[in-house]
Amino acid sequence: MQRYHRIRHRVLWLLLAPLLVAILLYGIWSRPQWPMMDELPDPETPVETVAP
Amino acid sequence: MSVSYQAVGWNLFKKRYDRILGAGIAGFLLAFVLAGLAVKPEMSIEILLMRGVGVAAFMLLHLTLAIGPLARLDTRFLPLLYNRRHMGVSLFLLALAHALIAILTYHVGSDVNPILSVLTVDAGIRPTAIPFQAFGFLAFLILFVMAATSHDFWLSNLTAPVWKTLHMMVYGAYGLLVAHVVFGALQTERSSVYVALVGGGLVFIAGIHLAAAAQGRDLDREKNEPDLEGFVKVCRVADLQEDIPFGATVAGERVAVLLYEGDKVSCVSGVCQHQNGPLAEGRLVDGCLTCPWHGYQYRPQDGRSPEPFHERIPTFAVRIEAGDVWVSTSPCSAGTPVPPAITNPGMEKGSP
Repeated sequence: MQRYHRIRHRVLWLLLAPLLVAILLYGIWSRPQWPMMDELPDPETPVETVAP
Repeated sequence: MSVSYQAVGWNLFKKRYDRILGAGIAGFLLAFVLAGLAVKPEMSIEILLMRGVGVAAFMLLHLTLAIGPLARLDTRFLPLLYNRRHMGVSLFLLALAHALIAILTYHVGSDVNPILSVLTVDAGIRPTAIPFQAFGFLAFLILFVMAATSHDFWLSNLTAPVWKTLHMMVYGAYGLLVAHVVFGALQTERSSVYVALVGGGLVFIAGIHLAAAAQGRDLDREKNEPDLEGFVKVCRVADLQEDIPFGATVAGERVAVLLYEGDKVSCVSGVCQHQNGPLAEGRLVDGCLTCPWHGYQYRPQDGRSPEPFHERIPTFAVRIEAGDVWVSTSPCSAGTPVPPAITNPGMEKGSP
């Protein structure tokens, strides 16, 4: 029984480790590009206002 | 005379452990909020707090997961293991605070049930198609079950194997929380520092678990074949040190061989009944083999805990021939008295 627990633990990490690395890589690779974020004015930049 | 029930067996070490843990968490949260206000003054205090408790919980989960393999790789980490469950419960309370602030901030006030909203709506704050909040919610449920069953009451009622299996769900919670962070915070916080922190934590945790597993695999390799009577040679008498157990593997099971009272040699299971702690890494205290994790004790002659405790571990018949220690590959049932083998007078023995 002890041996079963130890083998279960090893197998679990051998599966979990690459799975989590894959999740991390996929998450980073699939990050959305936000063109609208890049186009937002810097808070320091004065905003042009149009007279009504 | 009577013994009153104590929910937690407090001692000086546990109190000091909890004080350091509490001060560490409070200090981290204070530093996180102050740094957040300095770097992102536009961010509201509740969002900073939500992120702070979330980061603290995630860091504490890394620490909790690291203690086990670190203690197997280096015994200097053993004191951290002693009170690890208090760390786990603290981590659950931080996760609870994170969940409550997130639900109150983003999911209350509409017609949709807040829990349903967590599972189905991305609250309009993330453009990702991956429902990162559902990962966090599932991890939270696992942490809740673990915190609720963390007391020794549940350990003894569920039995150690069931309790251990239940608490192995922490690895699932870790995986879900990595997904929660990767598809949540890392989608908007685009600095490579955050990626390096999450990735570094993942590589560290997986690395030490795999290293500890590799070390355990070496210990499991049996070096000798059993003889016709079913005994296997595990070591020489000269390898034994008085009151310090010698760890070996017999028929796939870890055992602890003990030299005590000058010339007696006994062998018991190397796995503690409490939480499967490594008895062969403990030592004899007051004539009892003492687990290095939580101090559970067993007599070498019969594998029973001294009164008033009731724990029992299997014992093994031992034979000494020509300076070699032979152990039976058939364990006796837990708590069975087995007469110790006696080393010959003048036989060379190790010294502590």
